[in-house]
Amino acid sequence: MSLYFRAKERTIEWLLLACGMLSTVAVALIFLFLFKEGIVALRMASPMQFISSLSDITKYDPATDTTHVVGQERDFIWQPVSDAPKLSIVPLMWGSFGIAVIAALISTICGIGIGIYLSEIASRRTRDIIKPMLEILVGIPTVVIGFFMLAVIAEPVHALLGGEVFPWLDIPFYSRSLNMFIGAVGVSFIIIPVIASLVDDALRAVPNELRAASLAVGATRWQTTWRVTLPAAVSGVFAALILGFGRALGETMIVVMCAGNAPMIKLNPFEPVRTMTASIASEMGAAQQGGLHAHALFLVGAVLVTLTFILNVVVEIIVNKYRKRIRS
Amino acid sequence: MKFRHALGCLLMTIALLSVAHAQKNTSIAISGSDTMLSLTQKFAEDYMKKHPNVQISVTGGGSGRGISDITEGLVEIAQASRKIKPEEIKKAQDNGYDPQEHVAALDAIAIAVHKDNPMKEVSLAQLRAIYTGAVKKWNEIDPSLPATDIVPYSREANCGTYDFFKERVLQKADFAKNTSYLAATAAIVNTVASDKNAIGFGGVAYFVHDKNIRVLAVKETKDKPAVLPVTADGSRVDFNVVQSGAYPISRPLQYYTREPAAGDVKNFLDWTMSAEGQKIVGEMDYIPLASSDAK
Repeated sequence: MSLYFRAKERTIEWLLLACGMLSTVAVALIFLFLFKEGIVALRMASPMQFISSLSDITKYDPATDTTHVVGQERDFIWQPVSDAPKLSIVPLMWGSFGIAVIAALISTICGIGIGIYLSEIASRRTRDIIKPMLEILVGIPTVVIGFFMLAVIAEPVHALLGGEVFPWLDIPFYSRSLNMFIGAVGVSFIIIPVIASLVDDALRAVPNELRAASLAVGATRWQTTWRVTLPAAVSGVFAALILGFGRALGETMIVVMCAGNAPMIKLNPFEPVRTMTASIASEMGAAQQGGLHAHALFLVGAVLVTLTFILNVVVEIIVNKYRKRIRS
Repeated sequence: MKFRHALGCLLMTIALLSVAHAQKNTSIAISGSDTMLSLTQKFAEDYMKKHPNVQISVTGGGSGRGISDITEGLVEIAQASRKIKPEEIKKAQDNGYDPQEHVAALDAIAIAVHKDNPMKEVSLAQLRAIYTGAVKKWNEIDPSLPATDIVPYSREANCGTYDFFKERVLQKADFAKNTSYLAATAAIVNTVASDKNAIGFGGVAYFVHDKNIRVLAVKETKDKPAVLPVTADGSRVDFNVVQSGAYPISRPLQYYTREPAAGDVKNFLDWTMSAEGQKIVGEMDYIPLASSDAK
């Protein structure tokens, strides 16, 4: 009898182990596949080609109504469908990071604010309304958010900041309605609730004794939150921010629809950009299988996965470090 | 996304095929050019009404996608707004197919700017200058135009319009770095309608109903006459200038079959080229084949 139970126990353990291994195996296989396909691109073209390439400088002569190629310059260009494909990943990385950084800034401010409000200030009833709302916001398909930004937000914002509504408010460099900033605002919609929820959880995990002690020595509620509770929860807050950043880096549909899709590098945050994810999503369908373009897209995917992997590792390290420091 | 899309199509095709088999019906799957999507959908709808035993499913995805689908045997017909490339033919042959072309209609690429832009006509060289980034401001084209930045819009690289424009207008040069790529021609129309500095291009059918844009007359070279692809009030496509070849940026829209068309596929394609089919082409704002071309 005991033999039967032991066998049963063993089987269940093995099954659960298999379930647990599934995610690990999946991650390993994805890595393997992306790198295998991506490395082919490095063999098909010189690695330098993925950084920068020579492109023609064209001049227009109005007198004769002709265009001439007057020379070449080295530049960061993503122009994969071309007689001489230009496959610089740099402008795509610029787009991805630009959007992720701006979205992270917006979401950090809003997300931490919401998190503090929910955990420290809100009454139980308000909390019961706001928290499910946040969860609904997370659940909205990104394509809907993208469509909303594209159809409802982008043009009025352009009119407002571009000087059409108030001539005195004319930001001269806000010239295009679909741009990095609009894309980042759209992405913020999905990472604000993520950050807010995680910050809320992190703050609520801080033992009440700490708050009580702080209030007992005469600190105000705000001082308690800012100087005691938040620092105690810093590892959780930090993890939330980096997770939000990673999510922003991987976001696809919103940036395809509202970031303007021009693979260029301009310091102006109101210029359009194209992200790594947008390139993969828009171009993979038409890229010939086994061709340089398809493999270049796999390489972009590999770079993206590596970056998010590094971010996750950094989160783990920092969270562990802080946890130890707080405990000691 | 695309992969899931393709997988969905595949499953749908399999499902349709099995249903068709059970009922002794024929099913025809068509994918490809978004430019032709509304035309093919209308064709399919009308044809299925007349022939209830034929089931036609139509999806978009771009000419490249459609052609890649026939070379891999996923669909019966590809709709393409560009010609099939030699390497694509070779790939199809490697898979044991023999792609055939059937021209179904003509399309003109309209060039449009915002209605407040004083520009009325453009030469191919000027277009090339704008889209390769040789000129950055409107007044570099013509001193009477505003001194603001030109904001060029294009379709994504997976669409036939992009390929055609690149070959015909840019003469294979690369697009300017600041070109924004949009996923649909309708999106280009909307953006140009709302941005005073924008210029966009696409299948002329999409550009006839919007009051906030102006379709430009195009001239082959400086000395040739500028030809408008729409009527003077901008409300209808001008078939004559496209059929006669006077409008410089026009192209055939075609269907590709995996192998010489036979059976229901042949009947369907023959019907699209008949007088009845060509009448639908005109109704949908595409350009019917000149009668001499229609067989």
